[in-house]
Amino acid sequence: MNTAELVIAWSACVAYALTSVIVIHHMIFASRRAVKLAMWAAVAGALLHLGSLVVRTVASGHLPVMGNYETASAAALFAALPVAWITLRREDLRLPILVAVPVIMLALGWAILKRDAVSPLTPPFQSTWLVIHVLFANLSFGGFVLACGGGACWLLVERRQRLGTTGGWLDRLPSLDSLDDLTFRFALFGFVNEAVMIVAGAFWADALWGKYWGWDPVEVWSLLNWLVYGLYVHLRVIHKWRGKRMAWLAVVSMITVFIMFWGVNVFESSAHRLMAM
Amino acid sequence: MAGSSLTHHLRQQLRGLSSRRKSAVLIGLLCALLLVALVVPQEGRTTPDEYMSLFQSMPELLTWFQRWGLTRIYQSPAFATVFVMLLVNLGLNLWQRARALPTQVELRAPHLRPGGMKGRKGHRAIPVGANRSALDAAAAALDRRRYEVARSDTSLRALKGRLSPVASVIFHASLILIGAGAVISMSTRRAAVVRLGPTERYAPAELGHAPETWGELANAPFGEIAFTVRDVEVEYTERSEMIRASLFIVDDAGAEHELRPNYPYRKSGINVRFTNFGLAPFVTVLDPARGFSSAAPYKVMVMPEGQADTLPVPGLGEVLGIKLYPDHFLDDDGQHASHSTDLRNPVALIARIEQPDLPEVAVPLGAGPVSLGPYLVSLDKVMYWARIDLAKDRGRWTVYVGLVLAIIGMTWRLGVPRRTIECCFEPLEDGTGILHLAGRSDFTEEPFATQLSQIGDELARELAP
Repeated sequence: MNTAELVIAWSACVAYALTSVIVIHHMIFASRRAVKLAMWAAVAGALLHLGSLVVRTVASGHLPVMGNYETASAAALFAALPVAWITLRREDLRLPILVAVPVIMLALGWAILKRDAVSPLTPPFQSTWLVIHVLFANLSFGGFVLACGGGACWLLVERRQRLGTTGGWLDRLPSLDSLDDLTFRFALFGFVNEAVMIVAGAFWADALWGKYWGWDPVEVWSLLNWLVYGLYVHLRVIHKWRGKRMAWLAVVSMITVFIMFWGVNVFESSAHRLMAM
Repeated sequence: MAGSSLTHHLRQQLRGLSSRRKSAVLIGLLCALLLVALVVPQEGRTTPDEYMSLFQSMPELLTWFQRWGLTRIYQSPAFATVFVMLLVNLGLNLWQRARALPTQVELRAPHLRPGGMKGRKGHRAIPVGANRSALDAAAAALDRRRYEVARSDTSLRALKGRLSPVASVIFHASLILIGAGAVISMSTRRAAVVRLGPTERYAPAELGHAPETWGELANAPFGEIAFTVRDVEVEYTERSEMIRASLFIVDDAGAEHELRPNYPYRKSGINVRFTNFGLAPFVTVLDPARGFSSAAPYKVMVMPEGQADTLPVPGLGEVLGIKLYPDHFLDDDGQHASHSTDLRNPVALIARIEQPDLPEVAVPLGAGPVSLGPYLVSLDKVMYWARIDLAKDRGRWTVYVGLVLAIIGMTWRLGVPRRTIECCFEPLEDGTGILHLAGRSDFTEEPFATQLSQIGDELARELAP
């Protein structure tokens, strides 16, 4: 990791931290001040974040798909870019969407701590399927993070309505129905993209390891995560579940997302780490 | 009587098996089993030594896990039962969906009553004065938005995503296809590994031509295929980072093929993959007392670097221990190490296994003979060998087709939700009329609710009395 890249990545982290502080301040003190500052800090953070990965791509000569730093930072960016986009375009969604920024900050911070030297793609990584696999993994991660944020907002608003309290930034959130709808759409987006990720991974695994499925912990976690969101979709579409149960499911399902993306590679011995050669 | 009772019972069972509530329960059970497999150490994923060490650290817990079959989840009856039940459930669901398909995709002119429209979500009543062509205007507005419209005298129904139930059938069929492909794979898959160096030939059909590694192919000889290894080439950057690894083979027709990781050679349904490489040091052992020399190319794996291997010396009745460092250096502690598998400075550490007191000697490539007890040993040549994996999987293409169909079905069904808009004209006694408008969309309210509202606004403006 070169100095320019490190400085840009840390700057992105600082911008996310500023957004996080303002968002948390809003949540605790119910203040509406500095919302625009939070928005611009999030946008600046996303642009700096993108810049750090562009520098990395130029230096390494390949897309950021290899190692903990590149994959975690790219995944966080795929959550940060839609956050920046939505916060600029939808005033009513500005605050709920910014709630995802602390998660993005933590993901980027973890990535920076796990940074490694820039290196060329080793032969096992030289596959078009890898790019598709990682791209859709990141898209699904972005969808799941936003669904989790939507679910959390639904629960906050519902609690507020139940207790009859008013005032503060939560008043500016969309209605419960809209939040429910939005959460489901993000989860659906993540679900479909994760399916493409698994299929691309199966094609890649067949070419590299000679079998499309090997019960590797990363594979099983991704299948488990897909089934969990499949259950979420099934309950909503077939059994017409709405509201609190779905919001909790969107929030709790994030546990399997985090384990799938990070936990399993940290704690388990996986073919995804060794890759042969 | 007994016959009809049996039929009734069977129907009930079938209904129970195909219930969508049961689908949810089975998916939940499958998740739970996968979770157990991820948390409990699985015998198939650990070496016997690792498993024994785990067993020693928690004997009671692991015994309990074993008793319930939790250490071999994927082979357990519970897993097979859930898998089969899920397939049956899917199959029955698919059958029901396929039967209902013709009705679902048909767009019929409706005969709606104003009273039935009023309670619906998004319902809107638009006063249209004496305008009798309100339904025409509604049909035109919907047509502009690419809805398919069917109308009767007093009402109309418009659909977008009319064929999306087909996508649902495709998706459910694809899951069955994937399951069936997996079962075919499990029951027919053959796989083998062979390690070959340059000039070595792979031809199981030709007896008496086998290098020592062919023993691994006893159960899966793949006689349909034969080739000769021409070369193994590995390329590194200045910083010893591997950027290319290629295996060149020549088939029996004389054609040359380059195999790289991710790019296998396929013939007769067999995938031949270059999965790894090692090093073959050519060592000469000279016993001056007996005047005997022996050269033995031997394939060693050097990942991790300096991995101990053995070097049998035929004729001397001696087995030497060997560690190879392809890019040798001495680290800060004076220990032998290798920067990479790049052959920049190959050094072999050779010892006599039966004489552990005798120190091992470092033998650099081409440096001449070095004394090892009564012998003189030299490292004359080092070359790469290839680990080649062969596999034939008859279920593979079934699974591939299933995966592609699953993506098509899922994207189509979830990405193009079915939207229905219905309109009904209500004539009033005073000669004026009201256009009732209502609609619904699968899965989500937005952006359909906004669109319905826009259509309502547009019609209200256009038909205002």
